[in-house]
Amino acid sequence: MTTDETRWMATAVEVIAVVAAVLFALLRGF
Amino acid sequence: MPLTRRARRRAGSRKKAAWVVAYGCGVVLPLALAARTPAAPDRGIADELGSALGIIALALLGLQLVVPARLRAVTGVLGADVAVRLHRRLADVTFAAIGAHVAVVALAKPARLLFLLFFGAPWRAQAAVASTVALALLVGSSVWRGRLQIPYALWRAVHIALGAAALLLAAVHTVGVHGYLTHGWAAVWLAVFVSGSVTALVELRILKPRRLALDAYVVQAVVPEAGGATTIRLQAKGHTGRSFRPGQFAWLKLADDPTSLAEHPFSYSSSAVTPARPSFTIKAYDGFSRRVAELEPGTDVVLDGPHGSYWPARDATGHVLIAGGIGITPSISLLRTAADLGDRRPYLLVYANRTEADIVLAEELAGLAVRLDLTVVHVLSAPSEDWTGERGRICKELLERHLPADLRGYEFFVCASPAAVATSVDALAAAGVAPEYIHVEDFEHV
Repeated sequence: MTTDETRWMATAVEVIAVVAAVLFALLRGF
Repeated sequence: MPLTRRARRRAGSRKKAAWVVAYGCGVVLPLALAARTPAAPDRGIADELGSALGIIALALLGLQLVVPARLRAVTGVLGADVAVRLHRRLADVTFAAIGAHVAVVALAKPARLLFLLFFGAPWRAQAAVASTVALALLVGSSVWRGRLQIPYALWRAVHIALGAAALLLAAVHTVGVHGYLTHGWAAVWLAVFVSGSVTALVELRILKPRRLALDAYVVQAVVPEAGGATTIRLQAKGHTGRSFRPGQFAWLKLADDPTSLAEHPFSYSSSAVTPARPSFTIKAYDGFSRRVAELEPGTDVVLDGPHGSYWPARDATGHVLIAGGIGITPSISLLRTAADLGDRRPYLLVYANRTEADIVLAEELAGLAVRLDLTVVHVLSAPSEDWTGERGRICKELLERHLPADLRGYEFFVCASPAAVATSVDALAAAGVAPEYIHVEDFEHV
């Protein structure tokens, strides 16, 4: 692999997951 | 018009970005389906967030089974080595999602913490606890595999069993909770997703090995090399061999038991010009690689490969290869291929070992230096007194002594132990090499 490319990929997945969970909670919880 | 190197790298990055978006969609899809279910009364924002995190954790867990399964959709874009690294990083994300799910669910109703006591808890909670314990064991056995000296084949069997158990128990927990994922389209997703993830596992472990066994290779020769290494020369059996690129690797296993977990990834060491006669130069570290080193000529073996995301740049003006010990194998494949193709570009190989006796394929390297524009710099950390070459370890000063003055258009390939890789990459960066031109392999990509 070229140095360090999985870091941004995993971070991007993490950001997508957190944003989706928070949006879901906000939409359903209120 | 051929793509420039930067354009090709940008195209590669775009593919990876598209892959991340697809993966993100895979994670978000069950939430989108769950959002169509009518809201239950008396559920606050903490309950909803807890559910959302649980659904995401389940999706991440299932996808964790798919990423390292060597499926074409994954390895074709990422390469099997990157897929395994991503699998490791996403394990942290998955574990964090599970931890956040438990924390938020407990925060919403602290009495739920009693469910963690397991005995006397409802079965849905028992399934969740058992799933988490399976995952904790899985992570522990992976992180401390070396320290606990768990043989590779045993570790893989345990890893796969615990991974499948964690997913199935999490699915049981989900059904028991009888929440969002047991209604409407979300329920369909749950059934398809869990069975699909397990299918990916069956494909990797049972179906693919049987297909590969049809295109077996036979061991032609087993040659002892310096430094305790062994070269296994193979011949394709009734087929033309699968083409590979130098720098790639394959999982090797015995053909009489293709579905066995006893297999190991090895870098090709032969020229890519002759794929029907691949060879692997290996060092016996554990049970299986020792068995490979002791194979008898005439034995049938199966190769699951090639894998690996490295593409030698055709338009590179020169190559710098940095290798440590048995990490010479991808470099020797690159050099043999270059020699067979009549490549006239300059090559510099910096090769680190402990002593003179540890230098693998020393004579062949000397021969390749005649056939190619190749400079070989041996670096020994514990040489004999009459050694006149470089001493110590690869560092910035050493590289600066040997790197060409003009590095424009050069490609760099590093393959060594993780510590040596880190030192070499730092040294190259200090010498002004941009990271996108450094390709790295370390011995621990499995």
